[in-house]
Amino acid sequence: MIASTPQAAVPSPPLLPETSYLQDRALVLAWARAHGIREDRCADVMQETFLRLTSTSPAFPTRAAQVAWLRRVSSNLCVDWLRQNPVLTLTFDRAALQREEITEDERRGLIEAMRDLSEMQRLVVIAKTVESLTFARIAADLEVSIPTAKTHYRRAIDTLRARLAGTPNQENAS
Amino acid sequence: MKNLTCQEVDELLPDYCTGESDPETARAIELHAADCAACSREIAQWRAAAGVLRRASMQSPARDIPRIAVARQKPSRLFAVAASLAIVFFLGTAAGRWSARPASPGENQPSGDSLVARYKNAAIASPGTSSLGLALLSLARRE
Repeated sequence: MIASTPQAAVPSPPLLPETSYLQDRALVLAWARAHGIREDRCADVMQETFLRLTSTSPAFPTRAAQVAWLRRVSSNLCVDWLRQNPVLTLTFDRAALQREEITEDERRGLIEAMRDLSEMQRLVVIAKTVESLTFARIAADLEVSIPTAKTHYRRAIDTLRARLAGTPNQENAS
Repeated sequence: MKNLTCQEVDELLPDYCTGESDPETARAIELHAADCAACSREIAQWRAAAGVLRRASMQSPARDIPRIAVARQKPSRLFAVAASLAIVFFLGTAAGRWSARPASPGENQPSGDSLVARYKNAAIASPGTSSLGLALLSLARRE
Protein backbone atom coordinates (compact mmCIF):
# COMPACT_ATOMS: atom_id res chain seq x y z
CA MET A 1 0.00 0.00 0.00
CA ILE A 2 1.27 3.43 -0.90
CA ALA A 3 0.42 6.38 1.29
CA SER A 4 -0.41 9.65 -0.38
CA THR A 5 -0.37 12.99 1.38
CA PRO A 6 -1.39 12.59 5.03
CA GLN A 7 -4.54 14.37 6.03
CA ALA A 8 -3.54 17.55 7.80
CA ALA A 9 -5.54 20.10 9.72
CA VAL A 10 -4.20 22.87 7.50
CA PRO A 11 -4.36 22.01 3.80
CA SER A 12 -0.86 21.83 2.36
CA PRO A 13 -0.06 23.75 -0.83
CA PRO A 14 0.41 21.91 -4.13
CA LEU A 15 3.90 20.90 -5.20
CA LEU A 16 5.77 22.08 -8.27
CA PRO A 17 5.42 19.62 -11.17
CA GLU A 18 9.06 18.52 -10.84
CA THR A 19 8.70 17.89 -7.11
CA SER A 20 5.35 16.17 -7.63
CA TYR A 21 6.97 13.87 -10.21
CA LEU A 22 9.67 12.83 -7.75
CA GLN A 23 7.20 12.37 -4.89
CA ASP A 24 4.13 10.95 -6.64
CA ARG A 25 5.41 8.81 -9.49
CA ALA A 26 5.37 5.59 -7.40
CA LEU A 27 1.79 6.37 -6.44
CA VAL A 28 0.76 6.98 -10.07
CA LEU A 29 2.41 3.69 -11.07
CA ALA A 30 0.47 1.88 -8.33
CA TRP A 31 -2.79 3.43 -9.54
CA ALA A 32 -2.03 2.32 -13.09
CA ARG A 33 -1.16 -1.20 -11.97
CA ALA A 34 -4.46 -1.40 -10.10
CA HIS A 35 -6.16 -1.27 -13.51
CA GLY A 36 -4.46 -4.55 -14.46
CA ILE A 37 -2.56 -3.13 -17.42
CA ARG A 38 0.94 -4.12 -18.55
CA GLU A 39 3.97 -2.75 -16.74
CA ASP A 40 5.37 -0.96 -19.78
CA ARG A 41 1.99 0.71 -20.32
CA CYS A 42 1.90 1.69 -16.62
CA ALA A 43 5.15 3.56 -17.17
CA ASP A 44 3.65 5.26 -20.24
CA VAL A 45 0.60 6.31 -18.23
CA MET A 46 2.82 7.70 -15.49
CA GLN A 47 4.86 9.73 -17.98
CA GLU A 48 1.79 10.98 -19.83
CA THR A 49 0.17 12.03 -16.54
CA PHE A 50 3.14 14.16 -15.50
CA LEU A 51 3.54 15.47 -19.02
CA ARG A 52 -0.01 16.80 -18.80
CA LEU A 53 0.68 18.21 -15.35
CA THR A 54 3.69 20.07 -16.71
CA SER A 55 2.18 21.20 -19.99
CA THR A 56 -1.22 22.32 -18.70
CA SER A 57 0.00 23.63 -15.32
CA PRO A 58 -3.41 23.53 -13.65
CA ALA A 59 -3.83 25.71 -10.56
CA PHE A 60 -4.63 23.53 -7.54
CA PRO A 61 -5.98 25.07 -4.34
CA THR A 62 -4.41 22.35 -2.19
CA ARG A 63 -2.01 19.43 -2.38
CA ALA A 64 -4.96 17.04 -1.96
CA ALA A 65 -6.57 18.54 -5.05
CA GLN A 66 -3.32 18.01 -6.96
CA VAL A 67 -3.20 14.32 -5.94
CA ALA A 68 -6.88 13.92 -6.85
CA TRP A 69 -6.15 15.44 -10.29
CA LEU A 70 -3.26 13.01 -10.82
CA ARG A 71 -5.47 10.10 -9.78
CA ARG A 72 -8.23 11.13 -12.16
CA VAL A 73 -5.97 11.75 -15.17
CA SER A 74 -3.96 8.55 -14.75
CA SER A 75 -7.10 6.44 -14.26
CA ASN A 76 -8.72 7.92 -17.37
CA LEU A 77 -5.57 7.25 -19.39
CA CYS A 78 -5.57 3.63 -18.20
CA VAL A 79 -9.20 3.09 -19.11
CA ASP A 80 -8.79 4.80 -22.50
CA TRP A 81 -6.03 2.34 -23.25
CA LEU A 82 -8.03 -0.64 -21.95
CA ARG A 83 -11.01 0.28 -24.12
CA GLN A 84 -8.84 0.52 -27.22
CA ASN A 85 -6.84 -2.67 -26.71
CA PRO A 86 -8.00 -6.25 -26.39
CA VAL A 87 -6.96 -8.27 -23.39
CA LEU A 88 -4.20 -10.69 -24.12
CA THR A 89 -5.39 -14.26 -23.71
CA LEU A 90 -2.26 -16.36 -24.25
CA THR A 91 0.43 -16.71 -21.65
CA PHE A 92 3.46 -18.91 -22.05
CA ASP A 93 5.65 -17.18 -19.49
CA ARG A 94 5.07 -19.70 -16.71
CA ALA A 95 7.89 -18.37 -14.56
CA ALA A 96 6.39 -14.89 -14.64
CA LEU A 97 3.01 -16.31 -13.72
CA GLN A 98 4.47 -18.10 -10.73
CA ARG A 99 6.08 -14.87 -9.55
CA GLU A 100 2.78 -13.03 -9.75
CA GLU A 101 0.39 -13.25 -6.88
CA ILE A 102 -2.47 -12.13 -9.09
CA THR A 103 -3.51 -14.80 -11.58
CA GLU A 104 -4.27 -14.25 -15.24
CA ASP A 105 -7.97 -14.87 -14.61
CA GLU A 106 -7.98 -12.30 -11.83
CA ARG A 107 -6.18 -9.81 -14.03
CA ARG A 108 -8.66 -10.33 -16.85
CA GLY A 109 -11.57 -9.89 -14.42
CA LEU A 110 -9.95 -6.74 -13.04
CA ILE A 111 -9.47 -5.27 -16.51
CA GLU A 112 -13.05 -6.03 -17.52
CA ALA A 113 -14.35 -4.51 -14.30
CA MET A 114 -12.27 -1.37 -14.80
CA ARG A 115 -13.70 -1.01 -18.29
CA ASP A 116 -17.21 -1.24 -16.89
CA LEU A 117 -16.85 1.12 -13.94
CA SER A 118 -17.80 4.77 -14.09
CA GLU A 119 -15.08 7.32 -13.48
CA MET A 120 -16.26 8.03 -9.92
CA GLN A 121 -16.48 4.33 -9.06
CA ARG A 122 -12.94 3.80 -10.36
CA LEU A 123 -11.53 6.75 -8.46
CA VAL A 124 -13.18 5.74 -5.18
CA VAL A 125 -12.14 2.10 -5.35
CA ILE A 126 -8.58 2.96 -6.32
CA ALA A 127 -8.21 5.59 -3.60
CA LYS A 128 -9.64 3.15 -1.08
CA THR A 129 -7.68 0.03 -1.96
CA VAL A 130 -4.37 1.49 -3.14
CA GLU A 131 -4.03 4.34 -0.67
CA SER A 132 -6.46 3.25 2.09
CA LEU A 133 -7.93 6.74 2.28
CA THR A 134 -10.99 7.20 4.47
CA PHE A 135 -14.38 7.65 2.84
CA ALA A 136 -14.46 11.15 4.33
CA ARG A 137 -11.20 12.07 2.62
CA ILE A 138 -12.24 10.48 -0.71
CA ALA A 139 -15.57 12.29 -0.57
CA ALA A 140 -13.80 15.58 0.02
CA ASP A 141 -11.37 14.96 -2.86
CA LEU A 142 -14.17 14.10 -5.25
CA GLU A 143 -16.54 16.76 -3.91
CA VAL A 144 -19.31 14.27 -3.14
CA SER A 145 -21.03 13.24 0.10
CA ILE A 146 -19.67 10.37 2.21
CA PRO A 147 -22.70 8.11 1.55
CA THR A 148 -22.25 8.73 -2.19
CA ALA A 149 -18.60 7.73 -1.95
CA LYS A 150 -19.63 4.56 -0.12
CA THR A 151 -22.24 3.80 -2.77
CA HIS A 152 -19.61 4.19 -5.52
CA TYR A 153 -17.32 1.85 -3.60
CA ARG A 154 -20.08 -0.71 -3.12
CA ARG A 155 -20.97 -0.73 -6.83
CA ALA A 156 -17.31 -0.95 -7.85
CA ILE A 157 -16.74 -3.93 -5.56
CA ASP A 158 -19.95 -5.59 -6.79
CA THR A 159 -18.79 -5.19 -10.40
CA LEU A 160 -15.33 -6.51 -9.57
CA ARG A 161 -16.83 -9.50 -7.74
CA ALA A 162 -19.09 -10.27 -10.68
CA ARG A 163 -16.21 -10.04 -13.17
CA LEU A 164 -13.97 -12.20 -11.03
CA ALA A 165 -16.78 -14.76 -10.90
CA GLY A 166 -17.01 -14.59 -14.68
CA THR A 167 -20.36 -12.83 -14.96
CA PRO A 168 -21.00 -9.17 -15.76
CA ASN A 169 -22.70 -7.08 -13.09
CA GLN A 170 -26.15 -6.43 -14.54
CA GLU A 171 -26.85 -3.45 -12.28
CA ASN A 172 -23.71 -1.60 -13.29
CA ALA A 173 -23.87 -2.67 -16.92
CA SER A 174 -27.31 -1.18 -17.39
CA MET B 1 -24.56 -5.18 22.03
CA LYS B 2 -27.25 -4.80 19.38
CA ASN B 3 -28.07 -7.82 17.24
CA LEU B 4 -27.80 -6.86 13.57
CA THR B 5 -29.97 -8.04 10.71
CA CYS B 6 -28.56 -9.11 7.34
CA GLN B 7 -29.83 -5.87 5.84
CA GLU B 8 -27.98 -3.81 8.45
CA VAL B 9 -24.81 -5.81 7.96
CA ASP B 10 -25.02 -5.24 4.21
CA GLU B 11 -25.30 -1.49 4.73
CA LEU B 12 -22.27 -1.52 7.02
CA LEU B 13 -20.07 -3.58 4.69
CA PRO B 14 -18.18 -0.70 3.01
CA ASP B 15 -17.01 0.56 6.40
CA TYR B 16 -16.39 -2.87 7.90
CA CYS B 17 -14.49 -4.35 4.96
CA THR B 18 -12.22 -1.31 4.73
CA GLY B 19 -11.51 -1.11 8.44
CA GLU B 20 -13.50 2.05 9.09
CA SER B 21 -16.05 0.55 11.44
CA ASP B 22 -15.81 1.41 15.10
CA PRO B 23 -14.81 -1.60 17.26
CA GLU B 24 -18.30 -2.11 18.67
CA THR B 25 -19.96 -2.23 15.24
CA ALA B 26 -17.22 -4.49 13.93
CA ARG B 27 -17.79 -6.88 16.82
CA ALA B 28 -21.55 -6.92 16.17
CA ILE B 29 -20.96 -7.71 12.48
CA GLU B 30 -18.57 -10.53 13.36
CA LEU B 31 -21.10 -12.00 15.80
CA HIS B 32 -23.78 -11.90 13.12
CA ALA B 33 -21.46 -13.37 10.45
CA ALA B 34 -20.51 -16.23 12.76
CA ASP B 35 -24.10 -17.46 12.59
CA CYS B 36 -25.00 -16.30 9.07
CA ALA B 37 -23.39 -18.15 6.18
CA ALA B 38 -24.70 -15.69 3.57
CA CYS B 39 -23.23 -12.62 5.28
CA SER B 40 -20.01 -14.47 6.03
CA ARG B 41 -19.68 -15.36 2.34
CA GLU B 42 -20.51 -11.79 1.35
CA ILE B 43 -17.77 -10.40 3.58
CA ALA B 44 -15.25 -12.90 2.23
CA GLN B 45 -16.11 -11.95 -1.37
CA TRP B 46 -15.82 -8.23 -0.64
CA ARG B 47 -12.39 -8.73 0.89
CA ALA B 48 -11.26 -11.00 -1.93
CA ALA B 49 -12.30 -8.48 -4.60
CA ALA B 50 -10.55 -5.60 -2.85
CA GLY B 51 -7.55 -7.86 -2.28
CA VAL B 52 -7.17 -8.52 -6.01
CA LEU B 53 -7.09 -4.81 -6.73
CA ARG B 54 -4.63 -4.15 -3.90
CA ARG B 55 -2.29 -6.94 -5.02
CA ALA B 56 -2.47 -5.76 -8.62
CA SER B 57 -1.38 -2.28 -7.54
CA MET B 58 1.67 -3.68 -5.80
CA GLN B 59 2.75 -6.08 -8.52
CA SER B 60 3.68 -5.55 -12.09
CA PRO B 61 1.66 -7.68 -14.52
CA ALA B 62 3.54 -9.95 -16.88
CA ARG B 63 4.68 -8.36 -20.08
CA ASP B 64 3.31 -9.47 -23.39
CA ILE B 65 5.96 -12.12 -23.87
CA PRO B 66 3.61 -14.51 -25.72
CA ARG B 67 3.06 -12.04 -28.53
CA ILE B 68 6.82 -11.78 -29.09
CA ALA B 69 7.30 -15.54 -28.71
CA VAL B 70 4.59 -16.31 -31.24
CA ALA B 71 6.05 -13.80 -33.67
CA ARG B 72 9.46 -15.38 -33.39
CA GLN B 73 8.08 -18.85 -34.04
CA LYS B 74 6.62 -17.81 -37.39
CA PRO B 75 8.89 -18.58 -40.38
CA SER B 76 10.03 -15.35 -41.91
CA ARG B 77 9.39 -14.36 -45.52
CA LEU B 78 13.15 -14.33 -46.11
CA PHE B 79 13.37 -17.96 -44.97
CA ALA B 80 10.57 -18.98 -47.34
CA VAL B 81 12.25 -17.23 -50.31
CA ALA B 82 15.63 -18.80 -49.47
CA ALA B 83 14.07 -22.27 -49.21
CA SER B 84 12.34 -21.86 -52.60
CA LEU B 85 15.58 -20.74 -54.25
CA ALA B 86 17.43 -23.70 -52.75
CA ILE B 87 14.86 -26.14 -54.16
CA VAL B 88 15.04 -24.51 -57.61
CA PHE B 89 18.84 -24.63 -57.54
CA PHE B 90 18.86 -28.29 -56.52
CA LEU B 91 16.38 -29.35 -59.21
CA GLY B 92 18.12 -27.26 -61.86
CA THR B 93 21.50 -28.76 -61.00
CA ALA B 94 20.10 -32.29 -61.01
CA ALA B 95 18.43 -31.74 -64.38
CA GLY B 96 21.64 -30.24 -65.83
CA ARG B 97 23.75 -33.17 -64.70
CA TRP B 98 21.21 -35.60 -66.06
CA SER B 99 21.24 -34.01 -69.50
CA ALA B 100 25.07 -33.60 -69.55
CA ARG B 101 25.86 -37.21 -68.74
CA PRO B 102 27.40 -39.36 -71.55
CA ALA B 103 24.69 -40.43 -73.87
CA SER B 104 24.00 -44.11 -74.02
CA PRO B 105 23.23 -45.72 -77.37
CA GLY B 106 19.78 -44.89 -78.59
CA GLU B 107 19.44 -41.95 -76.21
CA ASN B 108 20.03 -39.12 -78.68
CA GLN B 109 16.30 -38.73 -78.99
CA PRO B 110 14.71 -38.27 -75.61
CA SER B 111 12.45 -41.09 -74.84
CA GLY B 112 8.94 -40.25 -73.86
CA ASP B 113 9.19 -41.23 -70.24
CA SER B 114 12.64 -39.94 -69.21
CA LEU B 115 12.77 -37.10 -66.68
CA VAL B 116 14.70 -34.79 -69.03
CA ALA B 117 12.30 -35.48 -71.84
CA ARG B 118 9.37 -34.68 -69.67
CA TYR B 119 11.15 -31.51 -68.53
CA LYS B 120 11.81 -30.44 -72.11
CA ASN B 121 8.28 -31.29 -73.17
CA ALA B 122 6.92 -29.31 -70.24
CA ALA B 123 9.12 -26.36 -71.25
CA ILE B 124 7.77 -26.48 -74.79
CA ALA B 125 4.19 -26.98 -73.67
CA SER B 126 4.30 -24.26 -71.01
CA PRO B 127 6.50 -21.38 -72.16
CA GLY B 128 7.31 -18.83 -69.49
CA THR B 129 7.01 -21.31 -66.61
CA SER B 130 9.73 -21.07 -63.98
CA SER B 131 12.34 -23.78 -63.51
CA LEU B 132 10.66 -24.93 -60.35
CA GLY B 133 7.33 -25.13 -62.12
CA LEU B 134 8.80 -27.11 -65.02
CA ALA B 135 10.52 -29.49 -62.61
CA LEU B 136 7.31 -30.10 -60.77
CA LEU B 137 5.40 -30.53 -64.01
CA SER B 138 7.92 -33.03 -65.34
CA LEU B 139 7.82 -34.99 -62.10
CA ALA B 140 4.06 -35.06 -62.07
CA ARG B 141 3.45 -35.71 -65.76
CA ARG B 142 3.68 -39.29 -66.90
CA GLU B 143 3.28 -39.86 -70.59
